[in-house]
Amino acid sequence: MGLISLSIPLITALVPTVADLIKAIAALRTAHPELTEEQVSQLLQQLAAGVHATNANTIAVLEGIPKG
Amino acid sequence: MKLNRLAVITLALILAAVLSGCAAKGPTLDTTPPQVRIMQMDRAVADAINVAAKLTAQLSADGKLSPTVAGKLRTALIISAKTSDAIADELQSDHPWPQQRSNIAVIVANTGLDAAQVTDPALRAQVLAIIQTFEQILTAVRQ
Repeated sequence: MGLISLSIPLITALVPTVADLIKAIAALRTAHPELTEEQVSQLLQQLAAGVHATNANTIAVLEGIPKG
Repeated sequence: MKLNRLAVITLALILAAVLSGCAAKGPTLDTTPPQVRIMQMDRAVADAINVAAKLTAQLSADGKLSPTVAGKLRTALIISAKTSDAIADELQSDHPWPQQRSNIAVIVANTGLDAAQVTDPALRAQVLAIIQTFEQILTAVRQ
């Protein structure tokens, strides 16, 4: 009897914790929403700007080296 | 006894929930479009070429690189930087993805980079990293 009365509050305490955990994992399992075409285009534009700036700097550095 | 059973059941529930969450996480999270992934690789290759160019300039100025090797690297790295620019341009073009893929495969095909003649270990590692990243791009567009 003593054990049963002890286990009831324990179940009450644990059930919300387990439910929260399962909810959090379910959220993790949900795939990230796909990027829109507009977002992809913006992302590509930003990345390309970085690529071009780096390559311009690279070519400027290399042009300082004698052709050999 | 009941408490022990309860604890075991609770632990088993938590473990099952965690394991099922972990198993499903991997394949579902990667929704990055292929163009963005290739552009990120192109960014990495541009950075690697930049480091190699600065190293080549430094070693050449210090007389630690023969003029012939420095000249060959200069040419190959300029071609590589232009290749990287061409990849970025292709990824931003209006071409449909299948055409972008085959165009990028042609663009990457020959950069003329060769690590064999580079004796400096840091520069050699950098040239190898560039070659490897170009190969990764080639593999990615061929998939």
